[in-house]
Amino acid sequence: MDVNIHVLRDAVAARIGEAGIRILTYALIATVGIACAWVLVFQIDLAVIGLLVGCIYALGAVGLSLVYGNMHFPNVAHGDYMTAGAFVALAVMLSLVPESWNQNSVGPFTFPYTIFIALPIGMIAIAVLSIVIDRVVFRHMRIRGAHIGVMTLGSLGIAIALRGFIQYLWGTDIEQYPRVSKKFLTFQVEMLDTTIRVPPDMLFVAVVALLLTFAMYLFLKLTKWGKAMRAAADNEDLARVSGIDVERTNLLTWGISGAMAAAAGILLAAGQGQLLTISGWKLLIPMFAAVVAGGIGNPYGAFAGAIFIGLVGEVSTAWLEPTYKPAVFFAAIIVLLLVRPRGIFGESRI
Amino acid sequence: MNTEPHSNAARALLSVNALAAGYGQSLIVRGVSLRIGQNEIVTIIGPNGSGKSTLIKSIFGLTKIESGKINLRGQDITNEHTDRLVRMGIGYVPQAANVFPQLTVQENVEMGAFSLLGDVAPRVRRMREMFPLLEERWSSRAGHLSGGQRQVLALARALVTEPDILLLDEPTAGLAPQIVDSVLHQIAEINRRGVSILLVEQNAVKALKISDRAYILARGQNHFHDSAAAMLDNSEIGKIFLGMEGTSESETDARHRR
Repeated sequence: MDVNIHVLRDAVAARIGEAGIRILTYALIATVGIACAWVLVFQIDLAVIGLLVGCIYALGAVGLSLVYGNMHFPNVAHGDYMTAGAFVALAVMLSLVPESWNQNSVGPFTFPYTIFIALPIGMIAIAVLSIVIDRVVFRHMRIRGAHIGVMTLGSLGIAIALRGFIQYLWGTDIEQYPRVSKKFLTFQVEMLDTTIRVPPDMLFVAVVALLLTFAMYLFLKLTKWGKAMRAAADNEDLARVSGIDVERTNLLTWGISGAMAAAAGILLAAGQGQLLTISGWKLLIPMFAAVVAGGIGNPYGAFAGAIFIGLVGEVSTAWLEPTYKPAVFFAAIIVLLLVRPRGIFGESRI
Repeated sequence: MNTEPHSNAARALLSVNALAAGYGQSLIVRGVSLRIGQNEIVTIIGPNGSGKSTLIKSIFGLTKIESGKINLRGQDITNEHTDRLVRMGIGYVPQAANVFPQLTVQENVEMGAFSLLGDVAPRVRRMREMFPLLEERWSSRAGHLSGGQRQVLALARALVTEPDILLLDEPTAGLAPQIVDSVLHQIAEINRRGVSILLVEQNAVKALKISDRAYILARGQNHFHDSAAAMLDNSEIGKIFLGMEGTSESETDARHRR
């Protein structure tokens, strides 16, 4: 991606010159600035929703980026880990807990109490699944020095197989996530002459996504094993020489990214109230876009990239049909990469 | 030709006996023997491809050992895992990529102490006090340090475990001459604190000046062995291996490397 962007940039520069590129960049920054100011004044409600949507993208994208940083390949199965997590949580809510538990909810939220049991179980289940798949498939490819392309195709195989297995168990129909029927409430804030309406469920989902991402940040920054994971991503040979068990940091990477993927899948399903076997797969493109926008292999960048995509996508609906959202944020990413070819924060920095 | 008296092995802190090692099918070290006593600085010199780095890597368990023995305080450590070797008191600083560029200086030092159990904070603090150069940059990313600062950080990363012996693979490679002197000075300083040092060096003359003894390797075998002082006085060795009196192969190589 990076190389293609360089080629594109050089091609543009050859036609309009470096000065042209500079003028184009300034014009772009001015346009973005005016657009941002305009959005703040007139579309702040869309911007807030965009931020919240970005938080869910972020939860998925951060895990994807973590795996890229440590394993050096894009795990195409990440979206299906999200779906699998959401189905495990659904199974817990529908069959492992008494039916009556699904009838009550906290405060203004429409999802039942049981989500608090289902979320950690789903996260643990997918963390284990992710580790097992690494042990059985990716580890063997890694040891044999498989090329990044082979690893990526391997993960595509896992994605398709996992989705097939879920469809075999649940069918391909839309599954309804348990909901408690309540009068539809929204949080309303009057600001700059605009009323910001936020569905409480969405706010909850965004806050949990933020908390989980922050917890991962603290783990990576403050704990011995978190630092070891960053060290192994940074310089694997030196990590081994320092006595770090790199196989164990790999295991941790898969476990954390699997748990984060499951959380993203569950929160997304809880927020939307429904679940499809292709829910996660459909999110893969925006998540990859977030990873690239933030700087490949850099989870903090992926977080920023996801927020960027969420914002751009939602705000664009002020002018365009929502179906054009992907086109809009990809256009925004191409522009972003022309200005910063290595993404917002640069590559592989955990 | 001078071969190693094996009877001394029992007294040595670290001894290598008739070691043959390499990568995959190819043998690079072919029957090398050496020993390092308590508190000694021992330098290994030799032309490119003579097996110096491979030897030091083999001692630290990073190559495939075909035959021979490595002993630490008389205990066999041949083919031992690196994390065990770290706990047994061996520190190793690789030649290139010897810091974690994205981690801070403090985190780099902490990672050196990874395999130790218990609270490592006091040891990390001692490294900070020992190297004022690092203290100034304590919270910076290692990738932002200069070449000399990186080498000092690499030494601190290996020293934090308080090893009895440090294995250093060309710690001055790629550094400007005045920085080379400062890094070698640091190494001599570390030795004065009671750490034995096995040093592989291209800057042979400078390294010999801080060393007690030296071994010359050629084609993966012991070629010559003497005290560092005697080696510096030996005009034939000086001419062939140390680049003194005219330009020898090793000196030309060293210049090309820079």
